[in-house]
Amino acid sequence: MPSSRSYAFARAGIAYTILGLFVCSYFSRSTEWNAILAILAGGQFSAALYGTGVFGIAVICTLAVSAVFGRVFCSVLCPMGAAQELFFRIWRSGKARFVSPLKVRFLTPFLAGLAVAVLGEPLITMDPISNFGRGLSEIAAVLQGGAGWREFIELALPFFLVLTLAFFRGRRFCDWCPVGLTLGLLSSAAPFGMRISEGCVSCGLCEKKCPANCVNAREKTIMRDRCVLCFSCQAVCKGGFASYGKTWLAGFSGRREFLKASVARASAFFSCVLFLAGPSLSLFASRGGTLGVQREGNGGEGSGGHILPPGGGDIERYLSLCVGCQACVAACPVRIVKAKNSPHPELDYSGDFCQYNCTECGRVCPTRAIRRLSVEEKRRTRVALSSLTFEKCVVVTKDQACGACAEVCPTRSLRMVPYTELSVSGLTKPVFDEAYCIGCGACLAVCPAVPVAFSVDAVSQQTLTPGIRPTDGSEDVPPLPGLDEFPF
Amino acid sequence: MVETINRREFLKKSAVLGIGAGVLFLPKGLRFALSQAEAEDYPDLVAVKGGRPEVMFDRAIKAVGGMGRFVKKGQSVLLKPNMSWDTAPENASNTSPALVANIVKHCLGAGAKRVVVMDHSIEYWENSKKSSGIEAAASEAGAVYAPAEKEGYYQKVSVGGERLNEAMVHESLLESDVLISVPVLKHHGGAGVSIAAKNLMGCVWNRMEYHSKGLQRCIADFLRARKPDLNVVDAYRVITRNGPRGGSPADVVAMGSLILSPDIVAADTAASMLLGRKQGEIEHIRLAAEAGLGRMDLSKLRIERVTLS
Repeated sequence: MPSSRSYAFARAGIAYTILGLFVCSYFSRSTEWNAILAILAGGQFSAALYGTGVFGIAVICTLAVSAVFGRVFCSVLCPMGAAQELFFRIWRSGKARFVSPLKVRFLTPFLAGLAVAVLGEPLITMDPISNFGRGLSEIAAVLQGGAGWREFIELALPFFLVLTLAFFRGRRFCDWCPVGLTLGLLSSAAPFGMRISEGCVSCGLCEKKCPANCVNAREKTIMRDRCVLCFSCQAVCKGGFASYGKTWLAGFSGRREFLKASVARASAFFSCVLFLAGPSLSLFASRGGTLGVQREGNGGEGSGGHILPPGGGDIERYLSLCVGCQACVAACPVRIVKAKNSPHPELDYSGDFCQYNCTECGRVCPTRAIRRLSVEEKRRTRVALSSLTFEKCVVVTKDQACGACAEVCPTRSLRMVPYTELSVSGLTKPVFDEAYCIGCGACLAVCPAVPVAFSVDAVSQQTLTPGIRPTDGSEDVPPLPGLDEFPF
Repeated sequence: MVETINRREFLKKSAVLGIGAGVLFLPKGLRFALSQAEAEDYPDLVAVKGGRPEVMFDRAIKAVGGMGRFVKKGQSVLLKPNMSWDTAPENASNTSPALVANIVKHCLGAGAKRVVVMDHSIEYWENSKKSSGIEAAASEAGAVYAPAEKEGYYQKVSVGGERLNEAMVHESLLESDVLISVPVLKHHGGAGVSIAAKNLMGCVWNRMEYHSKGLQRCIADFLRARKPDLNVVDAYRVITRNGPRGGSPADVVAMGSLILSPDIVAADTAASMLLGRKQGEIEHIRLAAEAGLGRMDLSKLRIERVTLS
């Protein structure tokens, strides 16, 4: 028989390990962590819901487990939950108090409504993995010296608010979290859960230790829809009364309690519908429906400058699937995937360019907003289109050799041809053939001209190019000498 | 135990010291003649064809007197290959890994304290170092792969060129006693060809300044700061057009050659001729020759041509 503490220890070990892996994979600049990040992010409930819909394997498993065993997901898999608990344990562990369900729940529909009204993206605004990812990737960006403060505040503020709240009050965000609400509703009638058995003397130790504020020591009840299965109450209970086990016959202590809980549940249900409607509507939209999601940068022509990561398809599809978890931002080896004006990352060519053989962003994307492209496909996927203003080229302005753009162009859309027929010094100029351009931004990144001779613009739809421009014999190179003897 | 020295040994050592001191105080002209006499025992340039790159190198280095002529015991060596591209060796945009590994072995065999391999990669460095196969091959041979993806690894040095006054140079170049340039021969859209001199751009952080200040002139200018002690041009597989990244097998020609010379201008001139260029046609090579950084006129050099069977 394991001791009363062993459950709590085991669970904390798993939860904090997963949190640690998340943190490492978001902070590491090496692509080695991306395999782990792909698994971790892929297991997140909301990401799976967005990616595969209600009938995805991860979604069904999470729902089924919650319906039988309680909020196991919130207990061990959710990094936001573990992070909050860590902050709670710093100071308030042992000082918590039960918070009545009405007090907790009345905020939820309000917040959900606010999110819908103001941001139009209820799930992303409140989603745990999205907020966690945004917070972490913005911290990483600041530490690695590549973030603007405006983006930092816009994207990471909710993360810090949640942690601050956790520091003072415990896992309170979990009461408003769309994933927590959904799983909570299911687990409120689950056959297994935490309960307080006969003999309890209402000493209150468990209530003080509960990070979810769901243990009512006076009434000797545990609100199972809010319980995140941390086993703290079990670990701290001297008499072994708080424990995990069969709960299907457990009732409510009185009519009043039952009413309170019911109102709270109805409220939670309302919020869930709101939250779940988000991805569902979006899914319909991505399947050719008319319920397009109107967002910034999505009006009228093209994609409004939003260059999607390779595999993003078009902006409608991309925005309808992206939860803004920033896994792609963490995965990009050259850090060009960035969230700038919205939580949805785009390509930013100001520092580097999209690597020809790299498919890391698609590899980690848990919702397939960025499709998993084969390297072959990626090399031919046009994410944007470059254009050359020849008058700005250093060959023209300074009359000197360069060729930097043609050197880096992986598809050879750019090539160097003699500047003039009579070019004695072998001076060459760039010629651009847009049919092969994939918009990787390499030319833009290396162009030494001031102002730069290239501009790379978003395309409304990612398409496949023919590949590398074939050698057609028009190259200006002297004939090769015979290979049998040295030409000198 | 007290170390003793007998009379015979004392005389021997004094004689050696005396001759050494004497050489130092010889008239300049005579000293020059002596050093020339030593150099004339070996060819100025060796061109080999008909073998694997590493085999051709064995033959070429033997012809110039072995690696011991360039690398002394306890010295540190910087080996600078092309490994800027995230492409496989067959693509010919990076130097052959087997050649790099073999040169590392020769350096260590000559008593080198440390052999460093580096390149300021153009494509993502971790991918380039893997795809090129050079990091694995060189490390196995005993070299150190020096990271070069951050500005912090570079230091500002004065070059004193016509256009390039100063450059941010990789620390391994400043720390090394011997520099060996191991380029792969290839066509280059801007510079015409990319060989040993162009290869040294990979030791520089602010590479793009070359392009804004004048690519050809800056490539030649950099040699004023540091000239390689040895140049080994890998012309086993050669990108003959649409260089330097390549990507189409149609542009790669199996030349199966290798050129070795302590003189960077001579090595680049000879290698450019393999691509059908005339002597003096490539501007940066000509500029380097005009600045007295090497000899371009191959007819005045002693060249050993070897065809392996």
